[in-house]
This record gives sequence, C-alpha cells and structure tokens, in this order.
Amino acid sequence: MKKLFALFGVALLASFVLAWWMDYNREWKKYQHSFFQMELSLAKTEREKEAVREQSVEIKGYWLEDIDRVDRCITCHLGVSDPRLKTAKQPFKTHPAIPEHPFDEFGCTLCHQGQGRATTVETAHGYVERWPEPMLKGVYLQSACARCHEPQTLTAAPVLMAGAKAFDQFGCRACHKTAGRGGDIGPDLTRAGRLSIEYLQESIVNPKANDPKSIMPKLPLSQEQVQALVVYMFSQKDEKPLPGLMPPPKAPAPAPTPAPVPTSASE
Amino acid sequence: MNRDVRYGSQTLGRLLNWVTSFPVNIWKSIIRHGYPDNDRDRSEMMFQNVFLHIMPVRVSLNSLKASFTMGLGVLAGLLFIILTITGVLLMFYYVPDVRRAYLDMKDLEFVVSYGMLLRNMHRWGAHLMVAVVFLHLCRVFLTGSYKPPREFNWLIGVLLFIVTLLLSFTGYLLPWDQLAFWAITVGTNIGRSAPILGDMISYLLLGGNIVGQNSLLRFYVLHIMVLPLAAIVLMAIHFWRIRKDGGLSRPEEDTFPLKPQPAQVFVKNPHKTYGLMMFMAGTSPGVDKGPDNTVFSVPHLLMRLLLLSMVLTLVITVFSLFINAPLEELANPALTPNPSKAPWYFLGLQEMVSWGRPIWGGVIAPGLIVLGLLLIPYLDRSKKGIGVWFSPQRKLACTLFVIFAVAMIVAIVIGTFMRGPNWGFYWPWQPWPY
Repeated sequence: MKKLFALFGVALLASFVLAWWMDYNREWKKYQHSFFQMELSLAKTEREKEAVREQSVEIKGYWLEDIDRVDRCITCHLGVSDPRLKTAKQPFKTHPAIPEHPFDEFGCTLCHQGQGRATTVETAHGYVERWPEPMLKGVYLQSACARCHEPQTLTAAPVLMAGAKAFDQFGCRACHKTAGRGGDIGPDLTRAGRLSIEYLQESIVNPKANDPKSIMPKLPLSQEQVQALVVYMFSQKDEKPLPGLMPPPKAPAPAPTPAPVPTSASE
Repeated sequence: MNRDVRYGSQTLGRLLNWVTSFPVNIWKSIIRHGYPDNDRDRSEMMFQNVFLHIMPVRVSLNSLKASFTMGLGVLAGLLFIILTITGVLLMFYYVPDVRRAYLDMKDLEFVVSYGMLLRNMHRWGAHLMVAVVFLHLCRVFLTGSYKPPREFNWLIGVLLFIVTLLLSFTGYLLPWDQLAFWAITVGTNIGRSAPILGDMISYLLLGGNIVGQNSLLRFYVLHIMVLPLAAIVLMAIHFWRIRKDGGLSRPEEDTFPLKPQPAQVFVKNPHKTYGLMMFMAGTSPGVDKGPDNTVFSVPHLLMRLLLLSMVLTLVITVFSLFINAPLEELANPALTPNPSKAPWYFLGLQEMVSWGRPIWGGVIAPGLIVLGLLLIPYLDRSKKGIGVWFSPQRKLACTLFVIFAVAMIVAIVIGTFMRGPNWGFYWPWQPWPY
C-alpha cells in the first residue's frame, strides 16, 4: 500500500509538472523572443535598446469591439507596423501601410481570414479542421475585398475585378443566380465562396467533374480568366458588409492614421 | 529583588508556554482526537470529522474487496468533485450568450492558462461519470444489492443516474458549436414524440421551438445550479442511507463468518444495560456472537479512498493533457450536419427511434426502462443472493439484466460508430459517400 502511494504520488506530481510545462511552453513565446533579439540588434541608441528590453512577453492583439473580433495575429507578427522590417522574414515582415484600412480599426482577419483568436501557427492560419475560413493566399486575398466593395469597379483588386467582368462577359447569369439575380438552370452561386478553391476551379474548367449530369459547356477560358473567375466565385459568401467600417458616402477618404497601437491582453 | 526575578521568570515561563503551545492549541481546537494509531482514536476520527463521518468506524472485509465493488460508487463521487472544481473554474471564463459562448471556448483554448486542460478534464470527466454511474448501477443489480433493506437506496440511485445524464446533456449545449447545437436539437426532438406532453416539455426546456438564446440560458442554469444541487441532495441521502441500511451489501454468512469460540464471544454483563440496541434494527451489536469479519476504516478504507482518488486524478489529467475535447464550427441553425447525432448515451434511443415510429424509441422505451429500473426492488422481493456477483439463486434476473445492458451498449455502439449520412449503416472502416 505504501509503495503504491509513493508510486502514484510521484506520478501525480510528474503529471502536474508536465501540465505546467505544456501550458508555459507556448509556441508564440518563441517568436516573441526572437523578435526582441532582432529588435535589439536593430536598435541604435541605448535608449532604443532599453525600450526593447522593457517589452514584456505577452499575447498581443487588436480588440475590435465594433465588429466583434479579436485578432491576435500580432502576437507573432510583431513587425507589421515597423518600417525597418520591409525585408525581414515572416512572421516579422512589415505590412504595407493601407491608410484607408488602419489595422487597429480593421484588424487582420477581416481581409486575410484565418482564425484571429488562435495563438498557434497552424490554428491561427486556419488550416485546421473545423475552421471554415482558412487564411487567403496570393491573388485569392482579393476575394475578401468584395465583402464591402463593389468588385466591378474595384481597380485596387484587379483579379477580382477581372473575374466579375468575366462572369458578366460569358453570360454566367443566364443560368446561375448570385444574390438573387440570374437564371435558375444552374446552381445558385450566392454562397459559392463556402466551397473550396480546388472545387470551384474544377467545376469551371470541367463542369462534369463534380456533377456528371451537368449541361454547362466548357468555356474557352484562359488560365488567367479561370483564376479570376475562381477569385470572384470565392468572394460570394452572402456576408453582410460591416456598416461601422464603411466611410460615409461621398466623403473624402480618411486621412492616414498613425501606426496602430496594439492593445495587449494579459497572458 | 529576589521576588522580581521570580516574577520575571514566571512571566517568561508563561510566555514560553504560550509560544510553544501556540500551533498545537489551534490544532487541538479543530481536531479533537489523537493520531489514529490506536483503536480509540480510529473510532474518534470517524465520530468527530464531518467529512469522514460518512464512513463507518469498522468496515466489512467483503466491502473492501476491489472485486466486489470495483470502486465504482466511490469513483462516481470523486468524479462529481473533479467536475465541480473544474466546472467552477470554467464558469469564470464562460458567458452563456450565443454571441460569446463559442468565442469563450476559443479563448479557453488559446489564451486562458490551463484553459484547455480544464475544459478537457471537465469534458472527459463527464463522459467517464456517465459510464461509471451506469456500471455502478449494473454492479448493484448483479450483486443483488437492491434487495431489502436497500430498496429505497436503489431508487435514489436510479434518480442519481437520471440526474447524471441530464447534467451531461445540459452541459453538452454550452460550447455552442455545431456538435452541441445539433446534439441538443436531436435529443429534444427524441422527447418531442411524446403525445401532448412532448411538445410542452420541449418548449419549456428550450424556451422556444428551436434551440436558441433562451435554451442556452436555461441549460446553463440547470447545468450549474439546479441539477448539481439536486445531485448533492440525492447523494447525501444515498450515502446516509448506505450507513442506515447496514453498510454495503454482503452475503449473510459473511457477517459473522467465524464460528464463535467461547473465549471470543461477547457475553452480556449482568451489571450493565445495553440500551442502544433497543433502538437498532436487527441484532446488530455482536452480543453472544463471535468476532465479525470487519476491520477499522482507518486506515483500510480511508487509504483505499485516497489511493483511488490519486489514480483517478492522474488518469484524467494525463488523458486531458494529450487528447482535446471536440469543438466544431460555430452553431449554425441553417446548416444541418448529416448525420446529426444525439450525445452518445442517447444514441441507443436515437437508434430505436430510427427503427419505427419515434414514439417507441423516444417515449415508450425510455419510459419503460426508467419505470422498470425504479420498480425492480419492489417487484423482486426475494432476499436470496444478496451481496454475491451472479448469485446462482438469481440466474434469471441476472441473465435478463445482462441482456438488457448489452442490448443498450450494442445500440449505442451502432449509433456512434456505424451510422452515417441519412442514418444509413456503414462499417467503421467504410467511407461515407461524401
């Protein structure tokens, strides 16, 4: 009996130590430590160095009350608003400044998608099961603009615009509906953005691939047009725009705001 | 001067006395018995400690056998404690608001210290508790322990089983993900097939016709307040009644198994009165009998309890460190997963519902099961085969019960692992069509 007590006592203690270590040893801390190292090497004056040393290791994030979002991406992407880090490697690279979309008002995931609340690389980028919005890569990022902007005239997102124009040009609406407009012969595409990029691409290039009974013709599309259409289709999510973030109609664009001040959450 | 010195040394002595006795007198005001290395203090320990008081002073060797109880009742009680502690800590981080509940789950996982561990321990502990309480019920049946005088305690036990299921069911909704939303939708729909009352009960429980904010709040209040209180009251009665019914059941010949030897028999002293026995049922004190088959609860029962709680904590902690509780997408009333499944312990019922008219699987079968369980000790009133596993005198009863239990388990296994889209049958290794 005494031996059993000793055995399980030690095992229990070991399990508690393991629990502490697994809770303490979080992935993001590694990134913060190497970021501070890098900042320290970039610091020129003693005062700058002191400022770096004073930073504490903690979870950082944008708390966007108006749109009910918490984006903790800057826990690792610490250099987004540091202009010295334009050539740094991810996750520390500077984010191009977009004056109309200040980070502290728009956050990150509104455009990039992914899981803003998460604090590990894989879960935050959203390439995990049970997270419907994985991070958008490359030209597909442009599909996010359509949530608030009209794609037909959005020159800042050329691929999305090309996709929207191709959709009209090839007469897709003869058969397909988007947002209540269009024919009934093919499937309603109002929520096509919930399908995967691969599925959308396949359905456009080879309509019979996913539905053998499909009567949709194979359209004479160039590679670029296919991609543009996929981006446009991927933007169809039937989500409401966020009125709080829209500039007042016909008002001048808001003046560039200074670099965002990260709100930090305690660990 | 001499007087002064004496006076001074007296004060010093008092002060010294006060200092040296300081921690001891506080300790003695709390614990009034000595170290339990003698039979008197071992008894006092049970008399004077409100927590240890649920244990008897002496306990039958038969009740201590792991092969008899398998520790299942104790495990269920310990799980309730673990779930209470983890549950209270989780309550600090959780708001039962449909806009926040799911996000609170994410924050528990990603930001709260030990948040995921707490959630895992609570989730796996709850599943384990349902299983352990069911196995405890099986143990009590198969050892004939519900027979007189323990009929009422069996009744309380069945109620505790139902409360455990309801606790687990109400907790299932709280994460507010697809799994939670649709499991509760399916679960309440099973009950809805009852005539007249079904719709009313489901409306009352959900606070509406579908699962929504009202349901979340109601389930939360039931889960953290009403049902735990009910469980605590029922447990108090359950434990108290064990003692009043003479401890755990054991075979009759086991109570005084040793043949009385003249030297060991406790003989009535003509100059003493034995008043207490007048108030006790039966012939409890061993007057005119040989030594009984018991040992002191300290250390034999107490140490087993502590060891079992250590093993249980270890198992749940390590399991929870490595295996995460499921969390699906945010609840979406417009997107029904196919198949939608009730929590696993109701999948036997869902399986039955799928066979024919829902009223059979949804109302009549569970109603009969509960009613049958409650009535068992009043239908089977024979006093034979108490305190023995699979007593040869109870062949029919044990066979029927095992068939019932195995049928429930098989239905649950089929419902959990072999039902795919549109409730079609698929082997676990068979891929689903999409």
